[in-house]
Amino acid sequence: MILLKTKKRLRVLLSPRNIFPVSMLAIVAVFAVFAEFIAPYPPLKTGVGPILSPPSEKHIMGTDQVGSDIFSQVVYGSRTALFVGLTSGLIGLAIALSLGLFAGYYGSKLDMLIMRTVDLFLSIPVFVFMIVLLVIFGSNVTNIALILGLFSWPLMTRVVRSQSLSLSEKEFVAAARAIGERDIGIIFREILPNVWPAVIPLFMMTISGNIVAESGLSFLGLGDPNTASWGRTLAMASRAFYAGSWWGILFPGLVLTLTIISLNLISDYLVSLLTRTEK
Amino acid sequence: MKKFVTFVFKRLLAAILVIVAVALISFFVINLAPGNPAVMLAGEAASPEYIKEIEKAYGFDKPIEERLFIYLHHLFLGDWGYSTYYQAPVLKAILQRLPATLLLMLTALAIAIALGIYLGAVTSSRAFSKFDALVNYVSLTFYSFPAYWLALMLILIFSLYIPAFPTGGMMDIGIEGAVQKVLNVIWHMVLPVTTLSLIFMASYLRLTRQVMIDVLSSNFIFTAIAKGLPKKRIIFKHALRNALIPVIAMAGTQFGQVIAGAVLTETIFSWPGMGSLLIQAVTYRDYPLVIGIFIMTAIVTSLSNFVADVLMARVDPRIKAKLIG
Repeated sequence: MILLKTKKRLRVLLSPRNIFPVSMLAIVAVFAVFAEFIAPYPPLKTGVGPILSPPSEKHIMGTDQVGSDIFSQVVYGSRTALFVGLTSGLIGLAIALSLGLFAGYYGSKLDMLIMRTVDLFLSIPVFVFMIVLLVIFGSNVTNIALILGLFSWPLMTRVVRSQSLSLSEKEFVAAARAIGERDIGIIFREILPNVWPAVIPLFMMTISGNIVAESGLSFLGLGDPNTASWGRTLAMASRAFYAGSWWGILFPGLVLTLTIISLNLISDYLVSLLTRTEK
Repeated sequence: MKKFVTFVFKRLLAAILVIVAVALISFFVINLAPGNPAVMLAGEAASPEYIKEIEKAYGFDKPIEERLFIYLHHLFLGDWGYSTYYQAPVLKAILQRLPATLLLMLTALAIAIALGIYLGAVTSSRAFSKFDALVNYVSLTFYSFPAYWLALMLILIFSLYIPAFPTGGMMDIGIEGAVQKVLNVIWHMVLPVTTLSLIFMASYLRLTRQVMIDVLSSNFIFTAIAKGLPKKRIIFKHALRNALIPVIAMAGTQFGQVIAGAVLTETIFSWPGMGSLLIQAVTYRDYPLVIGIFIMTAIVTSLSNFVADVLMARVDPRIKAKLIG
């Protein structure tokens, strides 16, 4: 995928199968970047409209029980979701690459140590641990992104490591070694470019998982109290259930779910592309 | 047989190591927390006298390595602290809530595994057809669904608009008779179990399909086809048996995530389990209870990993050979 030419890359991305997920993600990205210009009201300001108003011309997604505009919260929530998802995903990817590449290439004791740590992290109930950390150290958007990032590396490390291990036995690596390239050069110039195809789909799954985790934590009241988040909006609406506020549940949840589905669809597509070229 | 015992022993040791690691992690979290670590052990609502008592019991005048030892000793003896919110020892409060969580989780998991394997096997036999593509699409959709949003939507539709099921709880007050009680609990379980099993099912379906496609292209399947065996029998008897192993493995390793899903789902359905207990503990800053639940989930997760490992080695001679030698 990465190795394809830009034009071809664009064509693949816009093939009929991918039109829906790509345009969905584009909308969310536009929301996130231009939130100030798109949102009609400040997202957390109370009393910008009537209380619990169903969708109307002035409030296309309705309002919540303190009279805040739900559409504005969805727009600003995109920013929180993408910031947390991307930051935590990149932290996880950086750790995974720095551990996995070396563990796979050098093997032996270093490999053992890193892989046992991966196993340990995979057997800790992460979501519960994140709750513990947020309760004790306090919650804000940066903390959530950092904590999610620090738990995002184990699976990616496993994939990077197994790729790096099998690549290090390939002929082109032996050739590079024969012409006297140093280990660092081999790892970054020969192995790293070939690791991308396997790790990028998982990277996207990590981002989508972390966006769900962020919204879940916010839903539980463990998010940043001063930032709009899809989970926070859903939590508000879930308390106005009996007043009939279906709009507060439906719209933010739909945007969240469609974002996750889009990320997973593209990731799925990349995997199928990869296995096809392998065959 | 002797080798098998050594294997079981080794896996058990690994499980215990994880639990010890989690205990160490909680000790460091408690001591790195801003403010007085004794408050972490006593809870924010604790009286100053109780905090003094805790400081003495956990040796706060002693060096840190000694305190670690004292902490682990307390944990090992089952003294996980006192929950000021519940007015009960932490371990007791957790153990009271654990059965409800296990009931919900195991039911959802059983339904998810059975349906996931069945649908995965059926779709794999028609791999790359339109039907397969549709099922694949639908399962990816459910796989992507945030469990808690599905739960909210189900309540919205099936409790509020069509009042068919209760919005939450485990049993109504004033139900008489054992049969009625069981039926009432089942009635309360319908929506949370539907939520969780739809979401868990998606991963089993995807995994089974993937493994089955591999198995179906192996030689012994061609032999079975050549012998003229009925298709159904080939798929469900010959192929599926070989595809089950990774599914068992996933069920074991997934248990941690299963419990995480429980936190949100239990909270939404006010199901009286460990997950909703955790959120109550968080709300009241009942730190010993929060940390106790963290340790308990780690124990449940590593034990289920252990059981899955042993089961796998029992079921599959190939894995047995690889693991045990």
